[in-house]
Amino acid sequence: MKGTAWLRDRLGLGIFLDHMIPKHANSPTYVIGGSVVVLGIAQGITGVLLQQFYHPMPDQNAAYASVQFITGDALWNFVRNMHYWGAQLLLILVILHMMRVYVSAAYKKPREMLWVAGAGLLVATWLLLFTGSVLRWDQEAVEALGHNLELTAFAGVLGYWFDPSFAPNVPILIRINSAHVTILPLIALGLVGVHVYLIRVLGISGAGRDSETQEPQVPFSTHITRMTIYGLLAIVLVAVVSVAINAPLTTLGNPGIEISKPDWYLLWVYTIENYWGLQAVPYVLTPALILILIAPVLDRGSETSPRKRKLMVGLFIIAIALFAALTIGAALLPPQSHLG
Amino acid sequence: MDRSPNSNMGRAIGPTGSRAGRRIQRVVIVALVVLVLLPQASVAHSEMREEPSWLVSHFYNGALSVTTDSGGGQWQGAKMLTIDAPNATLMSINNGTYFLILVQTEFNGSLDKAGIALSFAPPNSNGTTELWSWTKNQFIGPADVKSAGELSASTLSVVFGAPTKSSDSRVGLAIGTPYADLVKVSTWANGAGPQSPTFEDSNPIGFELVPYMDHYPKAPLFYSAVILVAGVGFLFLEDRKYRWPRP
Repeated sequence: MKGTAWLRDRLGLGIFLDHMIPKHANSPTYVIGGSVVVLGIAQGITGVLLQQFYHPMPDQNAAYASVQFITGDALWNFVRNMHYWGAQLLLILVILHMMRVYVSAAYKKPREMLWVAGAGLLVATWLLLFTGSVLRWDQEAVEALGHNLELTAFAGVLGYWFDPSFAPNVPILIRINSAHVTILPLIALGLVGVHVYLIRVLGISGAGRDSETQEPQVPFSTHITRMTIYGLLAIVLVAVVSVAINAPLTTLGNPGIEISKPDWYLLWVYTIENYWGLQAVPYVLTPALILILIAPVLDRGSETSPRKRKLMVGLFIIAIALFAALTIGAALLPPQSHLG
Repeated sequence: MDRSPNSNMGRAIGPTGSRAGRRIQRVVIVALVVLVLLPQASVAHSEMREEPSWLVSHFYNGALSVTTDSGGGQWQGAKMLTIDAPNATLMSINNGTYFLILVQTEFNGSLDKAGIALSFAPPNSNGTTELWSWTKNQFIGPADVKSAGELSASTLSVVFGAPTKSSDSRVGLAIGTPYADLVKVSTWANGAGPQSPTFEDSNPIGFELVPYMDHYPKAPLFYSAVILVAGVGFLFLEDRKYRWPRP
């Protein structure tokens, strides 16, 4: 305790730890966001460890061989499993946190920018998983990159960075690696910083009770404790899964064939490709992202009860039902060819 | 402006200012228009080089039968590769230890004079090739390679079957390894083969035996269920707060 107090004094942590928050902020559904931070730190640690052995060169299959080296060693294979399953859980928790915030209308004035930062974090997490899957340089990775490169033709300036012509002397895999280990983590860290700052300034959103102003208050340090416990539980869960199930690694990537399906978080997009082709993807992804971003604009009233926000709740139900239907549809159908 | 941490707890403070709202709407509309127009004025040009043809041997979980019935159950997961020179279609499947290659070509004539041959250029073979050739009365190839042929509805179908690690063939293939430019195809209808079929007009085809790829087929069902259950759960919990407010 002395050490904690010493640090608290020297780092001025009291401004964060001592400020009061409503007690409901420590309920399980409100701690999901905090546990993402703890799990994200674990992802950073396992990622740094894996980077010591990963060789991001596509030539002579060095990238694939380095992943094979990692999977050939029991300890590093466990670390790789931790990184993979941790990423899956991280994305699930980010999605659940966004869903909870949406359902409780916590994006409303004055928290619009909190919502936008959260949506940015969702996209950053999604891209971290995608770029991470490409680094394996196995069949699934090469096909995912093939889809990505073909999409750049439709995305215009927004896709220019992904195009090989952006830096013709540097293999795209090296730039994907730099995105995965540098660019995206920096963006995510910045967005987490904005997120935490705005929570401190604006306060934790309400619990929808009429008597909320009378709700007991607790120090923010109790929230930190709670989110650490939940985060550690998540890490234990990831460790158990990592012992039992290996992270996927298919055969060496062959750019000439299409035989695999993407990870679950991309399967809904895969179904769209099955029906309307690859060129339909930007026309679905862009409006979907814009709809998420403008939720605070669509729902500007002061009402936060789900029963009185029929449009928003209806959109929510349609969105999760569509996600599940498209995902399951892609899972049940055999792989198809999409690349031109 | 009251910026105390708990000043706005649980209740949105009225609608967003109408001026700000209109600005946001304008920005969103402009963004939408730009995003729709961007693909039309693309500055990115992916380097879409022409990939060589690949014959993919898809995984089939079960015993393989060296028969030409392409509609049979074992061929259902196979993808067809169409080639121009010679004009033919190819399919392949494997079960991890054995693989089949089915070649079909349009043919009107006597089966006695027709045939199909495959030429393999195995890696590290120093340019020497291996021939698998089928005619009605003769098969040329390694001892442990089997073949069968059939003429039906103006289509000549020939299937070759071989162990992936053949003791007699030099073609020995590893699962999951792409072999570029491995196979050439030759067909004839005038009795020219089978001793010396010509492959001069045939472009080499890459060949890969792929394993079962869908490692976690139930994972998407699990994640979808998590999101559906969580969505309904959040709605229920949130609604409950309003129906039974805390005393």
